[in-house]
Amino acid sequence: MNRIAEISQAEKTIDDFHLGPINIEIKPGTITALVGNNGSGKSTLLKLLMNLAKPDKGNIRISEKLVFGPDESWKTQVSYQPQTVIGWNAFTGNTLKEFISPLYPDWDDSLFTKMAKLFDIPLNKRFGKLSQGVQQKLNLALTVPRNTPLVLLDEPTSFMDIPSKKHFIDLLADWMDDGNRAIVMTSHQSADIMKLADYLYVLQGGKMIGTYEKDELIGSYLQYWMKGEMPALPIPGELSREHQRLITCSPEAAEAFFQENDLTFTSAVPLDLEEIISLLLTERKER
Amino acid sequence: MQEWKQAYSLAKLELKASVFGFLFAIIFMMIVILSIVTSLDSYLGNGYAGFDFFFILIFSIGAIWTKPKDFQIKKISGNLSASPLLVMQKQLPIKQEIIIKSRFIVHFFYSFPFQVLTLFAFYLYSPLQGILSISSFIAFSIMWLSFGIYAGYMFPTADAGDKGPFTETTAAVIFAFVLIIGIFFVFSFIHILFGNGIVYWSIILVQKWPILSTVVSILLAFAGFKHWQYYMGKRMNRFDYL
Repeated sequence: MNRIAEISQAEKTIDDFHLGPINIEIKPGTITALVGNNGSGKSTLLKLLMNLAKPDKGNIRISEKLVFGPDESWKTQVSYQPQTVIGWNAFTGNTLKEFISPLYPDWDDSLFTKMAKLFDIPLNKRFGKLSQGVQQKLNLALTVPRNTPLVLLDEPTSFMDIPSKKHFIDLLADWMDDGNRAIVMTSHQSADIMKLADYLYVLQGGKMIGTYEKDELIGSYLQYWMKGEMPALPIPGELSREHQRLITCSPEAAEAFFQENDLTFTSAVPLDLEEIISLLLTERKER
Repeated sequence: MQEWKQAYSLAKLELKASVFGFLFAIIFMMIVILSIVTSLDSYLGNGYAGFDFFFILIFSIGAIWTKPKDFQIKKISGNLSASPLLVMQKQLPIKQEIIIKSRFIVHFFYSFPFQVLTLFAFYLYSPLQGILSISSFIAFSIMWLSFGIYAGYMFPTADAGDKGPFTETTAAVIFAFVLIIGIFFVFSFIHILFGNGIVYWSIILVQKWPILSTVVSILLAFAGFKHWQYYMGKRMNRFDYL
């Protein structure tokens, strides 16, 4: 499978914050969620991909072209929805559409109209006069229809109401049916990640913790409610124990250990993605 | 040429949305132009630094500061201030060269019409007609319009961004105030040292060496125009728009 984007050994220092080294490959047909605490460098990573900031070290390529090179043709291959929109305040949705749509050869006007209707966006009102939620909806309605192979979304649903969020997730899932597109998104909304993401790229304090296949990650964390007293010995993959509840990231090894030590459990339940992410981040912090 | 056409269509986005800003600019600039045209006589007789200041203001920044708030340079992140429209366009598939040219076109619309208007007003309604022949007046016009290019086009380069202690509004106002005092001081110093001001000496220059001053001005304008585009590109490559 060809890659749409690649970041290799990228590093960036901004004041006392250091991001990297970052390595990531984005392949068509995948949705990658950048996950991490506030200030972990998720938005900065998207900005590095858009060449809005230059890495101090390493390479960033989109469609095999270096984003900081003289050839700027890669820009037609990527759409970027920033968390904070700059420079749109003076224009109406209609003006912005007239300006943005000709820049993208595969612009889908019917999708734009559909999104504007679905989200009830007043296209004749100036962007600066819209509420934060409507601004975000308009921003997305002007991003997704660009139909570029790569879409970068920075907190796309943070200000959205619950029904709109659901509509958007469904719409994005349909949009991905093409199979040749990829999305990289940052989100603090675990529901978005749960429904959309294939891969999780976890960052903490600018450091890359790892890339995880979502379903694999969910399958690898299990919580057990144990019967009787738990042994003092550490259980394989043990992450926490509280009363009768035990969490492990190596369920197979843990169950083998239970058998060997005549331990029984009443139930075994997978963990929520949100809990897994918190565990990943705290586990790393404690190390 | 194709690039300039693309840049113009880019600049139109801002220009179309700035109609009210232009109306304000026209009203204000008419007052400034009228006041300096009517004071040329006394300037040539007695000389005062204020005249030079306003004349140079018209032929450098023009009416760029009357831009609507949404298009004025603002804080983007950290200590970086830049044109919000430039940041917006940088996120779109638009060549950097074209973004730069579009910023220059916007500056042209905010400066050139007022500069031409000033020159016409000077020739028609001030004693300048009696001092300069038509050919010398043309040389005078070329000299100052060229100045508007090699000095004036430095200002749109600030759209690419500026980092430093003057990005906060209060600090910027203090800086501007100190700068204006400084400029007045320099102009006054020139008056004291040479007996007359910059505009006066430019009149003398075109009277004595009209061809030479025209050629030098055009060369400077050409070099300045190229240089500021290159300089702006360099700044855009240097800054992080985080």
